[in-house]
Amino acid sequence: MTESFLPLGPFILAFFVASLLVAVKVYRAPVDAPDAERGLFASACVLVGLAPVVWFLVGWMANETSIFTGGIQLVVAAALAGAAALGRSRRRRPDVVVSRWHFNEKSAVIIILSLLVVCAVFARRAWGSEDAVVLASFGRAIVELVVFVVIGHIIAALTHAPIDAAGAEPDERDRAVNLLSARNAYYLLFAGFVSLPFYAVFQPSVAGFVVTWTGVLVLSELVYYASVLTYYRLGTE
Amino acid sequence: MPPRRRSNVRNHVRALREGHEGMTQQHLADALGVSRQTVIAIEQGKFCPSLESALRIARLFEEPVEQVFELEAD
Repeated sequence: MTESFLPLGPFILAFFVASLLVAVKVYRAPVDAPDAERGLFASACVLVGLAPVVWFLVGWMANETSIFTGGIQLVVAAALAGAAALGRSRRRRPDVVVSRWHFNEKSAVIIILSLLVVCAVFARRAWGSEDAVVLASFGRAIVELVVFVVIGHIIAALTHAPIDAAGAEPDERDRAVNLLSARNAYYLLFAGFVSLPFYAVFQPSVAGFVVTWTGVLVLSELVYYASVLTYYRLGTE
Repeated sequence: MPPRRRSNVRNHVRALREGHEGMTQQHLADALGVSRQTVIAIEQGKFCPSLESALRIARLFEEPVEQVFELEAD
């Protein structure tokens, strides 16, 4: 730990408290806006306040700073505020242009990209590592996947036009696409499930088995969402 | 196993809708209880609607169902 960061502490704490108060005020503002929109603005305020706190804590304890110690919070805050502002401007325009893509297509793209990025990063971290490192990376990958998917869906929902269509009940085409895609994913999931006992013959480690089983699940999810995208684009007939 | 064939059902939904002055895809979607994208898919032949929706479309345009949907020759 280093003492050089300590004098900044009170100022950073005051800034953080102020950002929390602003976030609460924004969220409770008596304006006619969806909860998600106000929630995004409030989250951006909290992240802006949190960024110097993270920078301070890491700098104080490890005596080093990087883009990940505060900078990443600012980038995410800017993305959230931008998405909320975009959603707000679209909502207020009466001549809003209807999105050409179905929300489920956008959702499928977000999930496919998130899965590919997180799995690639996980493979890079875990390849050739010991079991403990693999399992720790595995847990980290799950958290990263959830964060990417949630943030991606919030942004997609806010930028979708009309915004109500993002949460609409599925109609008969949505149900047909879902059934056909689930069928395709099921084939791969079943093949993977049947193959796993043969993989056990090679006596893999616990981490190896967990990763392989999860890999089968991830592949079947990729097939599912790729099928969703294909059926929406090319049709179910 | 024979290769999967595309549907042989053609429809005239787009022509009928455009024949009805002022009827947009959104109006038709609201009348059927589906999304606008589903109406687009039906008009482009990418999606075959359920029997219930087909009957609703025919009733909406006041045409017999076989005037809206037809079976192409094999």
